[in-house]
Amino acid sequence: MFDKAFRHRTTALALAAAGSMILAACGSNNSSGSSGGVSALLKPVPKAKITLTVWSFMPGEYTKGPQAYSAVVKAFEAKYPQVKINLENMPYGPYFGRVRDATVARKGPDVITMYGGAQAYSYRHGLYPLQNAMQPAVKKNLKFVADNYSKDGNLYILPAGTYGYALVVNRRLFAQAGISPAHALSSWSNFLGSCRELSAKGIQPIASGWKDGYLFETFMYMMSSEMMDTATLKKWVAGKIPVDAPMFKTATGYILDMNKAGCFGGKAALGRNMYDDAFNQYYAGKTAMMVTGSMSTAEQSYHSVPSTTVMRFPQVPGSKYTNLIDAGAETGWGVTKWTKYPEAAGAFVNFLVSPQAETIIWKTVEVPPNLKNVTVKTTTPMQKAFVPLMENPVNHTGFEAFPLTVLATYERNAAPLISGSMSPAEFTSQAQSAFQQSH
Amino acid sequence: MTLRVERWLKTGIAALITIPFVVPFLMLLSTSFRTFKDYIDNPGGLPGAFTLNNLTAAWTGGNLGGALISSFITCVVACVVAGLAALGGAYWFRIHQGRIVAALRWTLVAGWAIPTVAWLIPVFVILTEVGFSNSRVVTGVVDGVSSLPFALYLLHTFFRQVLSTDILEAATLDGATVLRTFGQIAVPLARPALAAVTALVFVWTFGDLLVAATLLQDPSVNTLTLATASLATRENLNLQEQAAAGLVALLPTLLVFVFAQRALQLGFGGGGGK
Amino acid sequence: MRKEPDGPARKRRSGFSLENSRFLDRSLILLLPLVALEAAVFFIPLIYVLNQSFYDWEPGAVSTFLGWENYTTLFGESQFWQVVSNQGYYLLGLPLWVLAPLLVAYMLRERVPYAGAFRTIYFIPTVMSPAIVGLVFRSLLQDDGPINASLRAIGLGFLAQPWLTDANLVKPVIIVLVLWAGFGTGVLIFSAALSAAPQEQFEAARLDGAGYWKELWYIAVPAIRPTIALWTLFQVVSIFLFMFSWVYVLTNGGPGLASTTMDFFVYQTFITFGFFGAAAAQSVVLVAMIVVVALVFVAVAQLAGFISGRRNAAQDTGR
Repeated sequence: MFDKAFRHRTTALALAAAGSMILAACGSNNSSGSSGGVSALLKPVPKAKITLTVWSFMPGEYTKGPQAYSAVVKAFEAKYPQVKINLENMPYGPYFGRVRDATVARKGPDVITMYGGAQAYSYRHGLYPLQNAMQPAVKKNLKFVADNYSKDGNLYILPAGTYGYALVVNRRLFAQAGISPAHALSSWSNFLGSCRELSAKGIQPIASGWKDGYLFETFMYMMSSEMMDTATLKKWVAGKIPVDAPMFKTATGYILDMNKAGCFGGKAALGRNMYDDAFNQYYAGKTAMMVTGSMSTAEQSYHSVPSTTVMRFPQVPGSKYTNLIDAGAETGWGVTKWTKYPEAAGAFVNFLVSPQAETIIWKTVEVPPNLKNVTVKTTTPMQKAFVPLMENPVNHTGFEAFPLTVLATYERNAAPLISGSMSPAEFTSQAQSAFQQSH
Repeated sequence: MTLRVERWLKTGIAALITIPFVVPFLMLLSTSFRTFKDYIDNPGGLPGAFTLNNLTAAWTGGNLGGALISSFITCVVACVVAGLAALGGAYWFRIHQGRIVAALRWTLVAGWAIPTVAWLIPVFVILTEVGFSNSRVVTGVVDGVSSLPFALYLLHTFFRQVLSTDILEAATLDGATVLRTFGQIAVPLARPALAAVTALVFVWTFGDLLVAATLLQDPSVNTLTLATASLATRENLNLQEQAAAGLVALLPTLLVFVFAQRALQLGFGGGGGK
Repeated sequence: MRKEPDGPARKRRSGFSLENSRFLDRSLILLLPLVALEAAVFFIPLIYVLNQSFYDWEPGAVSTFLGWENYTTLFGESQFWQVVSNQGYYLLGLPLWVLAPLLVAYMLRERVPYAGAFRTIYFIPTVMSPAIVGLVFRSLLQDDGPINASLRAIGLGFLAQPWLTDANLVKPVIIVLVLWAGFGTGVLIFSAALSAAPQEQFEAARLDGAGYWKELWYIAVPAIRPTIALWTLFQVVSIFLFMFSWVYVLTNGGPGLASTTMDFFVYQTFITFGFFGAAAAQSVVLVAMIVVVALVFVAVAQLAGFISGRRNAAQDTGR
């Protein structure tokens, strides 16, 4: 009995060990994807017929998103008939998890949607550096490139489209309170004052929710961008500024000042999420203002609340500018290191940020291009109000450079900070520990 | 306490307990059938305006018809895999004793102790390597295996209580081989417990998101739970369409439950009166 | 039922014996699918992950050998200990999760009309997918959500709390939600076990003048001991492995780290941040934690006679 059981178990163990060694071999065989492949990204696309798989959640972002992106795909295929693009419209929720899985398996799509900076850095072993893979026209005209570098000095994505954080303003509610929006947003102290006035009149100033923490991040981006000059932004993107630097502490203080002035409507905001609860507040006409970064949200706001207009968030006292808004690329496109078709993938990402593609997207889903040589004609009221704010040449953003661990800390500590159960010092210290975690 | 008082008291308590179960369900119903404007005006309040738009939008936008089929495939495969493998294994452990056997059994049950994300990533890598990505059948197998330790524990406990040594001895006396005894005596006796396992594995597989999201990346093979989650975009939680899709998901799982009610009553009791 | 005497297996006249059965006979084919499937899906990946936990695991780049560093870093993180203490806190819910369905199943056993209908209603959570349940409760539990609104409407406004954003409340709330989710299954399982237990002992106890609670404690509970053990073990494992969807949808681990569970922690480290080596170490530690807790549970249960060890094997109907 001992013999047979022993043999039985040993065989099983041997099998398991063999299996794990095979797996380990597969796993460690990963020095492929040398940078020699980068030069292929600019080479002419071979004549052989291929299918390029592209993963993106962007088509799902807009009602007409699928149309916009299939038009872009068609235009590319017209230029390169040998390439068929298989654009997979991926749902947002599982997206980054699936990209993570693909980077472990080193198999999957050829081109992916990916944010730059710290997010791309987290996937860097699966992405080609693209700073030397930009076609000359792209290199000359592409905006927001500097902000999207990762801290190892590589640009892992080509930035596309434009977003900019501003306020949608419910003019009817302001009128009801007898306050002029222009005056309210003319300075920081006027802004805080108008929060107090609106609250006193029973109107919640800003649509808010702290539970998911994204609103805190949004204000952090907006305020720190105002407080960073170009040189500081460069250092921040390079990872050389910690999150317990005075600038970020000051921004946290400004957010708490806004809270004290009643901008967020009180304790009920603690239990709400930014997505969707805060948005729904504005759409239901219950708040005077809301922060938004996208034209489509502005249009949705206008559709729900016809007295909506878009106005610039005031400059914080520490701002180094007079009219900067936190603005940058709406999204980014990367080429995966395991792609079998680097030439086609390189051509496609360059095409995605070309005037032809970006104009299609502007015309269909109202995302402004991030190209110096393309000016767009604004037609709708929201476009007329919003696009000039976005296109201010001094605009920049440091949002991409926030490490994911820091963002996770902000997200779960936002409600405790605003509720007062966590001190600003403790908040900053936890954020800084998270910052140090990101190697 | 008189019988009548006891009856009223118990019924009253039982009825009170139903409240926390009925209210969330009503909330789900209400969220599915309210217009967007009605919802944002009063998210927590009583429904005002009725619409079927959420349901139709979720059905077409999420391809819920196809998703139901995909869920059906994964769930049935999972039930078959978990049921058969656990059945055979539970019987084997019933007819073998000893410390080593017990240790092996506990190890197999302990498979449950490994967090899903830890075993799922390597499994995903291997499956991708051999080209089994986006396979609903393979996903069903993996889902079934993820419930296998529980199925084993349950069926073994059941066999312990129901397959007495006398029965096993009688079969041997009749000259039956182990496999024959398994097929002709153990399996029929196991039907109630097997039905219980099937019902639970079905419901768990149906509601699984992580395994499905990892192994099924092509939207055309989404399970219903995955399709529901896919209705949310980056900016829009789309709560109403998700709620409507959740209602659709209730139908198959409710059917399984009706079947489960009966089966669980038989299964966990230890197999008929003694 | 005949009671088997204690002691080693009697050699039966037929030669049939469980103690001396051979392993390597044809019956192995019954075991093979189970072992093969579990090895392929659970154990080989676990060994692989265990191996990777000693490296700075970077797929697509060089993974440097780190030895125990992933583990020492983990044990030095205050975050980790906070999460471990969360798990310990959630364990406090165990009595509730076992006793509540047990008591209600016993209550429904007799003199309740439409008991089946009640059990059906309690079972609703099980047929709602966890993600949907999470979304529904997210809405219900908001500060200005229906629960607080109702409390305020009936004059109990002081009871209206920030259920999910108060660090002291969030774990108890989640414990109640887990109870909510598993209650119907527990009631069903215990009801079935009670109805299949021999009914004569209940009648005998009643004739002897035993009251409601005595009957429960001295007759009902011992009769369904294996079922209670099964359910409890299931709940114990759930605390460590099946809390993920609650945390993910309702709180994302917050406020602060108050509601974070180990499985959520592992998921975040693996998938959100991509710290593969650290996540591998966390997974191994989680497995170890569960095994230890489960072993403690099994030892306690055997001592209390809830499941048969070698000592009270005789009380089973078969051996």
